[in-house]
Amino acid sequence: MAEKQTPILSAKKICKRFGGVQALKEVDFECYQGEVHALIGENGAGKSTLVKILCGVVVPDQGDIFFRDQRIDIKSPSDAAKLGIVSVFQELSLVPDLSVAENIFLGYEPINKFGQINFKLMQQKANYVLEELGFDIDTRILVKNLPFADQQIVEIAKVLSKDPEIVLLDEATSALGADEVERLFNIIRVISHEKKKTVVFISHKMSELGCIADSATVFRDAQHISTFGWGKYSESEIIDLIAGRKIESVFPQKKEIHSNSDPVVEICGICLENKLRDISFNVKRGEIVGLGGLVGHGQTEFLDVLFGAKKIEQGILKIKGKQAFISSPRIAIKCGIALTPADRKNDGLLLTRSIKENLALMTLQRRSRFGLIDIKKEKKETENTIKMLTIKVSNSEQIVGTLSGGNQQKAVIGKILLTDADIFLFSDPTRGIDVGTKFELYQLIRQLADRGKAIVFYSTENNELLGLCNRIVVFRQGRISSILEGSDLNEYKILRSAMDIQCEEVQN
Amino acid sequence: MKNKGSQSTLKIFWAKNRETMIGYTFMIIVFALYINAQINFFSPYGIKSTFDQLLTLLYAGLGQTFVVLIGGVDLSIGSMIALSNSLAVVIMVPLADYLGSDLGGIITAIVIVLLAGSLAGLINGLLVVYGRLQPIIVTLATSFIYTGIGMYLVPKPGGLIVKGYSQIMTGSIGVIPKSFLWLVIALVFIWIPIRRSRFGQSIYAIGGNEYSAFTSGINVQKTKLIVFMLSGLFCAMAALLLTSFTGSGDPTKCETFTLNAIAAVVLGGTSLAGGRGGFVGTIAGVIIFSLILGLLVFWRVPTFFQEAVKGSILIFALSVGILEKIKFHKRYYPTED
Repeated sequence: MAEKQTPILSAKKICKRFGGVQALKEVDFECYQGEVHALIGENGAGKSTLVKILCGVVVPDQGDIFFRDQRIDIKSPSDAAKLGIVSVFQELSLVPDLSVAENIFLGYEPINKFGQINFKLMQQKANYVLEELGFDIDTRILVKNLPFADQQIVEIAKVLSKDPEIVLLDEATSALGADEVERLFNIIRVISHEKKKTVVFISHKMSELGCIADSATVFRDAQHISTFGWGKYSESEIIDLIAGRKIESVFPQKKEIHSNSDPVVEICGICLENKLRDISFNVKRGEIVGLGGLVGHGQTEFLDVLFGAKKIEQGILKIKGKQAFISSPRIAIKCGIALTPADRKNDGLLLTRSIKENLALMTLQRRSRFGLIDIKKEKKETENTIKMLTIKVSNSEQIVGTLSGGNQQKAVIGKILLTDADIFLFSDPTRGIDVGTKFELYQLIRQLADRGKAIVFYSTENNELLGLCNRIVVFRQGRISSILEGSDLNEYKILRSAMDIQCEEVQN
Repeated sequence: MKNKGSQSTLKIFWAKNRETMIGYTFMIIVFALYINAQINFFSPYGIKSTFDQLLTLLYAGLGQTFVVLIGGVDLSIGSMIALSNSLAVVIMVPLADYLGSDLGGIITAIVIVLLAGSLAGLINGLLVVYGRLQPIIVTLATSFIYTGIGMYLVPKPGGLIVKGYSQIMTGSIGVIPKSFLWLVIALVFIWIPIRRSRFGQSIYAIGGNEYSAFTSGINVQKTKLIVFMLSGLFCAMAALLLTSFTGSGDPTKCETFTLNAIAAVVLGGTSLAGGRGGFVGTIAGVIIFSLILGLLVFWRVPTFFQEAVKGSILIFALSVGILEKIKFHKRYYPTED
C-alpha cells in the first residue's frame, strides 16, 4: 500500500560509535507513510541506537536524516516531537513520583493564559486517552505504584496522546500479557492503516511481527542487511538473515543420565509462606532440570530459596548427601551454588564498572595474596572468559553499562562461571536476548552439564525448556504439578500440568 | 470507582504527601510545646517576634527547596545571604544620598541586591549545567567566593541602613505582622504559581527521573539554570529581610543558614533524592526548626546539647524517608544465624 512514494522518513549513511564499539556503520533506513515497519536483528545489531537517533535521544556522529525529502537536524527529543516523531523506549521513561496523568502530558500540559496548568482538564484528557485506547487505569495513581505492565501501557498512551506522525516502538510489548498485546496491535493497525501514520516496531518475537508488520529491515553487526516486504521470506529465512549463518539445530544434543548416579542436590518438602508448598525433587550430576509452568507460580521464589535469598520455613536441602543450611547468598556461594539473577541490570552487574572488574567480582578471594589482588592473574582469567563466551568488547576495561543486553547477560554468566560452582541456577537467562546469543547460551549450559555440573534452569519459554532440559518440573500455585521426562517432554504436557486441565486428561 | 486498579482519593493523597503530613504532625506537637513554654505567645508582640525570627530561614528554605527538588543541594545559600546582606548595607545609604531621597535609595538598593543574588545563583547554575559538575561541589566552592566578597565589602560587622527601611520591611499593619505577609507572599505569590506551571512540573520530572524528563522533551539544562538562579534570588530576599531586622551587615553570621535551610527542607518532607515534596512542607520544617531552638533556650538546655538535638532531629527526618527501603532489605537479605 505504501509502494513507490517518497519515504516519509529516511536516514542515509548514519554512523555512531559508543566508546570503542561501532553501534551503527553507514546505515541506511527508509520508511513510508501508513506502514508498520519492523526492525529485526540480534541484540547489539544497532536497532535501538537507530531508534534513539531518529527520536533525538542520541546524536549521530555522521549521516543525514530526511523528513519528507527535507534534510533535518534532530538534536533533542523536543526537536523530534515537533516533527511528530515520538518513541516508546525499551527501558521505560516515566517519572515514578508523578501521577499517570502528569506523566502522559509531561512537557505538554494544558495551561491557561497565566501559564498555570489545568490539572483537572489534564486528568480528564488522560482518562479520555486511556479510554480511547481501551485500557482501564486510574490516572491519579503515582506511576511507581502501578504494576509493570500498566506502566508500559501508560508509556504507550503518553506517546500516542501526542498524535504523532511516526511512532517508534522499541520492544514495547515485553511486559504485556497476550490480550493487552492484541489490543495494542489493534491500535497500531488503526494508526497505520486508517490514520495513515507510520509505525516502526522492534521486537524479538517473530510471531508478533508476523501479525502486524508490512515491511521489515534486518540489521546485523551494526550494518543494514536487507529491507523487504513482509511475506517475501519465510520465518526461517529471516532468522538466517538475522544470524548470518544457518542454525542447523538450535539445541545441543542431550546426554543420557544414569538413573543410579548420585544426586548432587536433594530437595525435600520445601515450604515458603504462601508461595511454595512441599517442593521435592533432586538434581543429578550432569543433569539439566527445567522449571516450567506459568509465570509467577513460585519458580523464582524457589530459586531464591536455593540461593539463600529467602528463608525456608520447612523442608530439608541436601547437597552431595549432606544437609545444608543455606541462610544467605554468601553461604550458598560457599556451598558451590551460583545463580544468574533474572534482573541482570540491577542484581547481576555493576553497570558503571569495567567488564574485567565485573567478571572478577565473585572470585576476588581466590586471586588475592596478603590481601592484595593479583592483577596479572585477574586480567588473564577474565580475558579468557571474554574469549570463551565471545563477549563483544573492545577491551577488558570497557564499562559494562555500554554493552548490549545479550553481551551483558554473557557477562553475568561469565562471572559465575569463574566461581567454578557445582550447582548452577539460571533464572530466565535468555530474556530479551537475540537468537544467536541464545544459541550460544544453550551450548554453554549444556557444556556445563557435560562437565558434571548440576543445573536448574528456569525459563518462561517452553520450547527452550523442552530443547535443553533432561527433566522439567512444572509448578502450579507454588506446588509441583508434575515432573516430566522422556517421552512426556512436549509442550502439550507442560501446558496441561501448568494449567491443570483435568478434563482433557480424562479424554486421553 | 469503575477502574480495576482504582484507589480512594484519600489513599492517593497520602501516597503523594506522606512525608509532608508527617512533617506537619511533628510541627503541631512542637508548636503546642512552644506555646506551653512561652506564656505570652498570644500577645501581638509574641506572635510577631516568632514570625520575625523564622522569616529569613523561610526564604532561604524556599531557595533550597527548588534545588533539592531537582535532586541537587545548594551549599552556598548562607554565602549568598552574606553577600547580599553586605551589599545592602554598603550601597543603601550612599544611593539614598546620591538620589536625594530615602525611598528612592531603598528601592534602588533592593533591585540591585536582588539582581546580585540572582547573578550569584546563575553562576552556580552555569557551572552545574555547562561545567557538568556536581551541585554540591560547585556550591561549596562558590560559597567561599561569595562569603569572601561579603567580607571584603564589610570587613567588620556594621554598616548603615536608611532609617525608614526597617519600618517598610517589618512592623505590623494593624494587628497583622508584616512578616506574616511575607510568608503569604512566598506561598501564594511565588510557590503556588511556580508549582502549577510547566516549569514547576519540569522541576518535579527532572528530580524524579532526569532521563525521562529529557526524553519527554523537557529542556533540562534551562530548567536547572533557572532553579539555581531562583535559589540566589530568594537568598537575596532573605538577606533583605535579615538586614531590616538586624540593621547591619555581618557576613560571618550568615553561614548557619546553609545547613539550617537543608534541615528545614528535609524536616518538611522533601526528598534529598529529588522529585518529592515542596515548599508547603518546608514551611513546616522552618517552623519546627526555629521553634525547637527557641524551646531549648526556654528549657535552659546547655549549648552542647542544643547542637546534638539539632543533629538528632535531622537524622529522624531523614530516616522517615527510608523506612520503606529498610523493610525491603530485610525481606531479601535475611540475617545469618
